[in-house]
Amino acid sequence: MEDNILKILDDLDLEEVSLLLDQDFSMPIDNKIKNRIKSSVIKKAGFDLIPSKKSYLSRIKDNIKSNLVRNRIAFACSLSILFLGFGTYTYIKLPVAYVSLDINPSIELSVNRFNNVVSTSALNKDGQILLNDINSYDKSVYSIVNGIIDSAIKEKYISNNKPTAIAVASISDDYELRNRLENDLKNSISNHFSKKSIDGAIYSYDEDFSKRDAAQKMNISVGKMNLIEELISFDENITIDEYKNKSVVDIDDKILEFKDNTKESDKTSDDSTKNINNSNLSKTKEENISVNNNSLVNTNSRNKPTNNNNTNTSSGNNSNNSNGDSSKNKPSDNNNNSSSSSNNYNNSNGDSSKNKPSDNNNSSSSSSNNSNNSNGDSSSNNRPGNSGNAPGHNKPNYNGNHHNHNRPNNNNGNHYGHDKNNNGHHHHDHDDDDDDDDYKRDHYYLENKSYNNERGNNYHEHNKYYDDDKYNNDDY
Amino acid sequence: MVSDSNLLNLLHNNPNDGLETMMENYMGLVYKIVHNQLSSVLSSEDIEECVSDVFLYVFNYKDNIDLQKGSIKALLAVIAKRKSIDLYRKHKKTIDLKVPLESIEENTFEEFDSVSDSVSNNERNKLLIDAIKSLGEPDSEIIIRKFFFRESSKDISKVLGIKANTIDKKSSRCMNKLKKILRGVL
Repeated sequence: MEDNILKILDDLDLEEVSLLLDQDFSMPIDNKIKNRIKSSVIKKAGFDLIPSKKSYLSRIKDNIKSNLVRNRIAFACSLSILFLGFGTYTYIKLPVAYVSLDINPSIELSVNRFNNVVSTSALNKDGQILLNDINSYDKSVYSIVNGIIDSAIKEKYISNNKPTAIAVASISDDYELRNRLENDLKNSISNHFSKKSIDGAIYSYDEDFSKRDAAQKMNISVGKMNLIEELISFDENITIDEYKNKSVVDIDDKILEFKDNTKESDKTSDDSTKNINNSNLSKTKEENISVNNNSLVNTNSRNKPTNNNNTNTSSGNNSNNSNGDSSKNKPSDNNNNSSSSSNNYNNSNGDSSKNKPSDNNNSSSSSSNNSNNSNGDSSSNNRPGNSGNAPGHNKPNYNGNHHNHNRPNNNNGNHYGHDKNNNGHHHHDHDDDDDDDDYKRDHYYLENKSYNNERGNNYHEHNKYYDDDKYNNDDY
Repeated sequence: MVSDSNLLNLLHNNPNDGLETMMENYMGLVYKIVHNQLSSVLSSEDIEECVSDVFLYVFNYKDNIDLQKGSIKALLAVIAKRKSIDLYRKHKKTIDLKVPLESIEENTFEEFDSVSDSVSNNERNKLLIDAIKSLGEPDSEIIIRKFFFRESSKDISKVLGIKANTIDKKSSRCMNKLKKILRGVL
């Protein structure tokens, strides 16, 4: 029955359907489907789509949605730009090196990768004055330095009338960079000097950051620190505070003074003051490395009654001739303390034959090659001194240096550069040691009848470089 | 809901708007007929395409529309039914014969506006329609939806707000009535 009706209804004609459907039937349909079909029909019919009948709200929603994505992208981009910018800023601005300048005023500049100055600091008042003067239009380190020099000229720290010296130091852990910077600065400054018709000395240094930290602790610039260190190498009593406020010129003068003095001491005869230098020299650890600089000590041979405190703490070759020609040594205290480890030639009293009562404390705690000649020629008379060297005795040093191994001697204590076996030169005129045979002496003997202070293999060195009328010794 | 005369005027004078308006008013109707007929055999895309074809056909026929013969709604309904039944039969045939759908030629809907060849059919139909209409509301709508639109009880209950159970009961009662009425004729 039902199928019948279905069939019948399916075959109704137009009129019949009109009759059947004359009432309104509610036929809801999904909007999407509707619009889809509509647009397809309109397209097929050849018409343009009627402008979107979408509701205003849905259009806004669409906009917002697309904006949301765009907004997210924009946000991400801006964040990355921010980071990029920050990174670039840091990269450019970060200092890679420092430059310190000293004339009298003391200034430090921070320099970035591109050799531009990113910050300045004055290390003393005068420096501040100079810094205030420069205008910072061009930030290149060279032009800033030149600007500082110009200010210094203006403020009369530099002038044609007086000697001029400037110390510049480039500081960086990058070896190449600081080298290059130092050279470029040197050139730039010297160009600028000649432009301004100034004749000045330029001292340039390059250091690493640890040096700068040390200098900062003492509140001085690296350049000045280097200068003062150089001073100290000549005179260890100098303190940093003394010189920290002096100008480069002054320090330079002082250095020259020292240099001259040490040269002179080789020639003149009255230079007891040089003793200080020598002992200081030997004290300064850093200076006294393996190089045998005790040749200078030879100057002590001139010293007459003096207290020779020759404390050699170096480890290399020491030829301590504290009293080169001890023959001249009258009552004197010869404290030859060398704690070095090799090659000690201690001629505390070169020619001990002339050794009068003296205290020869030849305490060398070194372990090898001690030729300790506290009393140079043991064959000579050893008065009741404390040297305690009887002829033929080998008495140990205080430090118990018994047998010293022979080591090749790089010791240039002798001007003659001999090694121990060769002291033919050092013989005195009078070599009347009968006892020589008893000991393993070579021609090291001192001609005088003085004790030969041999210990094992002791090598005497007798350095008589200087003509001395009183003691008729070999002179060279 | 636009009146037929207005719609026809629109179709003649402003075809763009006319088409738009027609679709706006009768999309649901056409879709329902086509969908309920073809959902079991065709995809939704095909169904939508069929619907659009219906509208296009009617649109192209707009100059021949005679409101005396029938309403535009009825026209759309009839076209929709014919087309969908055609597709259905074709599909059935292709399944059975494994022949592509397009090759089958049978088209029944072209005869829609011709006078029904059998007078008796005509009388029978009229009788049925009157019988259905005499059922009263909502029964007649239920029956029309059920047997003309082929809606399920569930869908009918959604639209009318009547429980599906009730719809079934009513439907069966109505069928009995119709049987009685049409005993002699069917």
